Amino acid sequence: MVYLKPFLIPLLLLCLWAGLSALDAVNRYLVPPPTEVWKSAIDLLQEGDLQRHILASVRRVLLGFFTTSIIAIPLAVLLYFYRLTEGYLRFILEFMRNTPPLAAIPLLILWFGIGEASKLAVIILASFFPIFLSALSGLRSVDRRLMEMADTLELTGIEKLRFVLIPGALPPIVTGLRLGFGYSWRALIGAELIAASVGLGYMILDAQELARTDTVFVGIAVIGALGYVFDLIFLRLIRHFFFYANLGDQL
Amino acid sequence: MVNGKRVDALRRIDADIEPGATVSVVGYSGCGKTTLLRVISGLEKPDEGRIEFFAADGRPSRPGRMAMVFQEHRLLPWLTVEENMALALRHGSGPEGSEGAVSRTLEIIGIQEFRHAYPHQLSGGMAQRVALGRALCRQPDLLLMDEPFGALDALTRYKLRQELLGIFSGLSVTIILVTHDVTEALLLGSKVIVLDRGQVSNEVAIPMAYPRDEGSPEFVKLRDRVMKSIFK
Repeated sequence: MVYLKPFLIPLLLLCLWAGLSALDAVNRYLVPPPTEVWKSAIDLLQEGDLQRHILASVRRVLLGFFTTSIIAIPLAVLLYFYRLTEGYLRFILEFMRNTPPLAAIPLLILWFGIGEASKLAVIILASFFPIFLSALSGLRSVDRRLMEMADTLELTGIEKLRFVLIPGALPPIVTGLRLGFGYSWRALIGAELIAASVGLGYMILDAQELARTDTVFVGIAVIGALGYVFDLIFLRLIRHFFFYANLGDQL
Repeated sequence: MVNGKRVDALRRIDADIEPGATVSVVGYSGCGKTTLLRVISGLEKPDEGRIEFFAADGRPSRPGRMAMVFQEHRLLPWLTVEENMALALRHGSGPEGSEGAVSRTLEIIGIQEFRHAYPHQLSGGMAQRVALGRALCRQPDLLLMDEPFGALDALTRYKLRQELLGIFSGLSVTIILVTHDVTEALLLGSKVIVLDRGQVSNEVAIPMAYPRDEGSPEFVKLRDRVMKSIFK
């Protein structure tokens, strides 16, 4: 019965929704009945449209996310070992961090057109800082005392990286990846609303222009569900592989 | 430098250490005993001055392979007991080679059943034992111990002390043990060096056979002597 707790309120809302629709208490254009939304979802699935949009969005976010990681994590490692470079990069990084990626879209469209490149750029901008900052702080959070101990064992630099630094920094890094993924996903939908011809964001926009509010509902539900599922995957990953992550300072 | 003022953690210190012996270093907090150990091990480099080692005949020498046991166990949380100890074999385990070294050391330390456990599953005393085992896996010539029982409760300290005597009696390691517990210093050391403000203020030889009875009159006398040196 405990498993049902989180579903109680959604269920109640669903009943409320169905009830209000049946009583014609709400404008069908603004809030379509659940049956219509469901029917729209089935139609989209049967025609393959939903899958097509989902695939497009997911592919974009995975590609962008992967690209960001390849840039952000080595950069963090670099800054960890060469503190001097931080002074030069600090202002630029902080400025970029405080600029919402969606604000950059007009510029990105100008530079990269409305093809895949601009979408990729938005994802990278959105996910770079969570990943980069978590990686850097993760590396810095590795207890010096363990590094000292490694010195007393005469471990080489590579061995210290392999046995102490990376395992120690990995939980914060993966947490940063989880955060970064969430930001990417949300930024992507925004980008697709503005300039795309396929993808979940585009699907919603197109549906709105065709007065198909039921499809809009489907789109939002799928976006939310996918975001939630991805997050859950990350969480599971973290919990499974990093049992040592939440053990505090038990040295 | 501390807050702009110069602090001499260590002044001139001369010490004779017999190979294979255990030398205890005691003194007030801040007397420099931990700094001394860290400088010997190379973890800290002196801002001024230097440290030199000499062999018995006066010729310059090196202390050989060193290993250190800290007050915290400093085990890697993501490795098992066995893996933690195996780490020590990567750089120096002496002529015998690495194959059975971990197993043998586990036996000596008495923690074989825990070889696949992770550090967070161990009690403080067990973890510290693993730390000691890791240090011994290196087959060091010189073992440095910085208040190794400082973080443990009194009962565990007592127990580990007894065990340590047993462990060390079978090994030919030279040990420098820093401790604030004078009784411990006298139970384990063949010599007690008292440090005061970075200098040796006294050296007390303990010519008693192991294991020592802390109630015996000779022990009590020696302990009084050490205590007086600390508190004078």
